[in-house]
Amino acid sequence: MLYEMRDSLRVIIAEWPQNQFFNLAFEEAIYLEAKHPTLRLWRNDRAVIIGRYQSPVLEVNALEAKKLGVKLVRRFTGGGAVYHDLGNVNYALTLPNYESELDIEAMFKIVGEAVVEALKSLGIDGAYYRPLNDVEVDGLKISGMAASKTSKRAFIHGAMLVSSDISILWRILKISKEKLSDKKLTESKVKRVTTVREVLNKDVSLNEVYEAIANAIAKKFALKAEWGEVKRDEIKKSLDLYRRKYSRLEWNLSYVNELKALISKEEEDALKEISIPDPVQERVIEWLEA
Amino acid sequence: MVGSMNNDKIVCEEKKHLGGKMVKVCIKAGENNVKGIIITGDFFAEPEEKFDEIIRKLIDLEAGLDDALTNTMNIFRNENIKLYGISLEDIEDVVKRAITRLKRQ
Repeated sequence: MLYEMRDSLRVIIAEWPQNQFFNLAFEEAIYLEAKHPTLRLWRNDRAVIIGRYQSPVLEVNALEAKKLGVKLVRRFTGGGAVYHDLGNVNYALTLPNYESELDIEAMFKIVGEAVVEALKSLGIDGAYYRPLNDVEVDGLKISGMAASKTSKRAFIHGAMLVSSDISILWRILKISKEKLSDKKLTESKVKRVTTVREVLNKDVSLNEVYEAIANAIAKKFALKAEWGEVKRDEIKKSLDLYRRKYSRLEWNLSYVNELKALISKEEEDALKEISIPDPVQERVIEWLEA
Repeated sequence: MVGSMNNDKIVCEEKKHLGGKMVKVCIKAGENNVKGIIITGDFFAEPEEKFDEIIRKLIDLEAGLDDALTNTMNIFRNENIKLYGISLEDIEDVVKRAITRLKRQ
């Protein structure tokens, strides 16, 4: 490992659940701006977050998402679409100056094993890392990860299903038969995911989950977890990314124009509506800009 | 999945790499020619910006139905891209399937 135990891992809770677009802008800002190893813990209100190379036309049931008040945001990392709500805890690890030979796959394994340890400390013993980018319990996904890496900077983020309403997943994602081909079949219906609450049959507090993830990741990278604050320059960078990228259809609806013949006008309109901030969400930005 | 716009049609095919990720290929085509190829999926690529460039080139790709596969794969082979969760062979396979389907229509 590049880091030594005397190095610290800055842990921040940085979340604006009411504005999912800004939450994703902050995710990229911290990747670009963090000067020290940083772990961000955060939650989102209802949103479907699609991967960098996905088309909303092929992945998202926009009419259903609109009906349920679910927003659509594209993240800057690859991987698949995930559903966020307040029962889902997100973790994002930025390692600046990480001049390691480890590739994305190796990073997934390291962070995946840390997530397994975090789940163990919450009372779940049977979790395991499943390549490429999942953590599972008894064949069911409980956490998924995505990553980005340059020669000098590594970034891995993921979502842990704590008490999410996973029934909504089925309604808002277009899941193809190919995708389900190696997933678990239960009662003639395919069940692909589970939650911490479902496995433990009890609720765990948000603080317990945050602490479990922070401690496990710090230990895995031999860093000392130190709880810190969001910095003003991180907010400034996030606001810039929000205005230029994450609040815009050009980013969130990439690869839609080319495929819009595959959907109805009604679905196209719904996609546009859920992929930009509404006036209430803009007020969060006005407050941050003040 | 099939759609049409003006006189063009769009044909999509997909493949899940065993134990890996999904690649989806949609081809926009006229009577006997390709007017663009859209490659999407839940895979990872490195460097990401290079892959973005490839996607943009393919969206604008114009070729005869018989040349489209070779032209597509040449664009990939000219760039040093590392894929995770899928392989170049998966992309080739799905593009080939989509073209075959177009030819049958």
